[in-house]
Amino acid sequence: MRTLLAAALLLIALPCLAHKQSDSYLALSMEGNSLEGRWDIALRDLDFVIGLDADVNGELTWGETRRGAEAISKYAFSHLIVSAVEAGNTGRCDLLPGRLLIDDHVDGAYAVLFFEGECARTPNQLRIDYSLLAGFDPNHRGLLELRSNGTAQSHVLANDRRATFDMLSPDRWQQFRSFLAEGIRHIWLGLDHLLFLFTLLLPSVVTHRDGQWQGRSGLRESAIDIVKVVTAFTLAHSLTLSLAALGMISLPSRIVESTIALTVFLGALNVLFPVVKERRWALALGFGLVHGLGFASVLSDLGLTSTHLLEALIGFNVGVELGQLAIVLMLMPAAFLIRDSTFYRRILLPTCSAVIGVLAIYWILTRALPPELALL
Amino acid sequence: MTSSLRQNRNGATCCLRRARALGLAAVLAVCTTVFAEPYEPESYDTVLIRVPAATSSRQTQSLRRALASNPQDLNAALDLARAWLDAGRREGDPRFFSYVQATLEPWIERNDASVDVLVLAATSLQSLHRFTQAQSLLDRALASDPRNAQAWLTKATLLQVHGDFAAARNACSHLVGVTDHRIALGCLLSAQSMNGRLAESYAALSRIMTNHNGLDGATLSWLSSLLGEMAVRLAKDSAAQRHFQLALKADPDDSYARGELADLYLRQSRYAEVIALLTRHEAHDPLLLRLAIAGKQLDTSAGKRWMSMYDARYKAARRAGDATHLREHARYLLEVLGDADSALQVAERNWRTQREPADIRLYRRTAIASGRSLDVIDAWIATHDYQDATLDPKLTAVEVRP
Repeated sequence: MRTLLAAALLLIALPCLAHKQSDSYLALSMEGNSLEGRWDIALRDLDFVIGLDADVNGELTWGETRRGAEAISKYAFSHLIVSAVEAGNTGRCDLLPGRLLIDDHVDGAYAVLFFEGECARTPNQLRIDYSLLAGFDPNHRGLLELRSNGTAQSHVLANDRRATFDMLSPDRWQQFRSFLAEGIRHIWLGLDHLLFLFTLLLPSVVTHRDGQWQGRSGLRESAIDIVKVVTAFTLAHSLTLSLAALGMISLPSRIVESTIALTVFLGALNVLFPVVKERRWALALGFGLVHGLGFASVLSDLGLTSTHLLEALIGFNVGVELGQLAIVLMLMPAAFLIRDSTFYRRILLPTCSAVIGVLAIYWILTRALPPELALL
Repeated sequence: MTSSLRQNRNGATCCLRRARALGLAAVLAVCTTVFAEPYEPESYDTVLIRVPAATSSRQTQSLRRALASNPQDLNAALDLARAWLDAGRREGDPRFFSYVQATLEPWIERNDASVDVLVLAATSLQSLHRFTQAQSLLDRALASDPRNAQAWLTKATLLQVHGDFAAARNACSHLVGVTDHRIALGCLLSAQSMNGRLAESYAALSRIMTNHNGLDGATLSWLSSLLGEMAVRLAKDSAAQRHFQLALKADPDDSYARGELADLYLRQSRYAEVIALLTRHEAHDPLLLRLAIAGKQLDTSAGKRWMSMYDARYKAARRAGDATHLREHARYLLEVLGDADSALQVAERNWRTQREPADIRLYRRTAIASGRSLDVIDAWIATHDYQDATLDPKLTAVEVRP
């Protein structure tokens, strides 16, 4: 499939490449004293300097590029020096080349060089001596994207110049925004939180009477029920998220994660065999406490530092709420419109819940067992 | 009351336009970022790039080897630099102009740099829109050889692009007697036509060009393009079309003439002809832009592809801070994305360094589209007595003198 796509892409891309000045794209991310990098250099430029097209037929193949990998890496990394500057001391960081891949840019295929680096000390400034294509193309530039401490800065590296960059620490607003985005991302990608909410919200437009789900009469009742569930869930997970982020509660993540899976299962079960019918907000409140602990472990994985902790916490939380609200707004109007149909009450509601329940069982098994015993 | 109403309405249409521009931009962004992950090609035989013919040709390879084996050889350097300059002009590819610069670099800094070195380097810098540096190299060249025709012509072109028409005329006058009289007069009449003497300059140049024997293709193409531009400004569209077609016949690689002809077609809504004229020139950014504009009007799948291709290049250039194509970028914002306010900002930046007819039109059109005052541009037009039928079709019949 990939080949077909790539071939189709080549057919389109090869004859109509842009003409632009030569640029390389250098992405560096620094954490403590170690760094990771990705460097995209136009194959055309590399060929111009080292002569990769071995059979000089005007076509540069992947095979020729692979065979030239060592020369490429040797040339590139002798024209990039990264040094850590800390309290007046400068020490060169060792760069260790990794994989060579290919990526397509507007002016043709680029070699993508991955690398890692180790500096003697954690820098407060990074110095970069950039001299790629020096002597060959005086207008070549390196477009640098430098990430550190959750901030990103972009710079243009002129050919054959030395440039020094301060390692920024994020300002409050930046911190807030980036964690806000993480919060939204997490609720959208974190399927377990979403499905838990579904099991509580899907019944919001119906009510359980005479042993079966029946559509609620008005918008008002449904809306009130939705608001109750969402508010309860929000209050509960905000509370535990904050307590955990501030270090006041701490539970092993395996327990938290498998308990979350259990709440999803119970939520699904409650739709199929309703026990808690009208007071599902109470379920949201109780189980929401566990989900908050789950959010907290994500937050700590994101490298939460004590600078602007509060902004990060609020940003992440607001992000989760916004993401949750967006889902409610997308899902619930549709559910409300079809609430009276047999399809919704008899088919959609039970089927969804059953699928969610089965998935939750799978999660419980994989999360609760220690990795070496996990059979699934 | 009425004025506030109008303002409100303007505000609303502006937001609507903005929203539509944003929506289009978002769609284009999705189209162009689908394949943004690095990958390992499936087979060793997969062709990743075709090396440009100019780089892989036997001629440039041997010129490069000759210079490498004897880096002090000025003639070897000049030969290679000329080969790169030709390639750059032919392909419209800025990397080649950079190679010219790199090849000549060891000589440029010397006090006794030869005139050939300086003029060649200046020409390549001009092509990269590095006008100030190009100018200073030309002045150095002219100080040591005041009769160098290429240097005067390049200088005149620079001055004219920059809108200094009096100085351009002065530079052109130095060509008289040192080169073919048609070149000298083309230079002079073109500069003069920007200052109120359009009809008479066009008539004079047409008369001279009835005999174009002995002119090489590039020169004939240049002079024909000058005539075509003047004809456009005189609203003589069919004559203009003939001039541009002759220019392309004389030099099919002349992308400037091709772009001007495409613009003529675009103004006449002859979109299919624009596509036929440019379809093999997608690599050239300014020509791709015209394809995108025509493609948008025709609303075909090819048109969408050109739009997303141009969008990718526009973004790459913006990311790199490349200001070479400000004129095209402003046109893209205005005519493809429909974002008049951003277009005006770019057109204003472009206006600082470029004042050719295309720049004058663009600045005025973006100002009109975004509802801003035309005072600056109209004052400039009045001061210079610049005439152009395309600026305001209703007025030109009166404005342009016989």
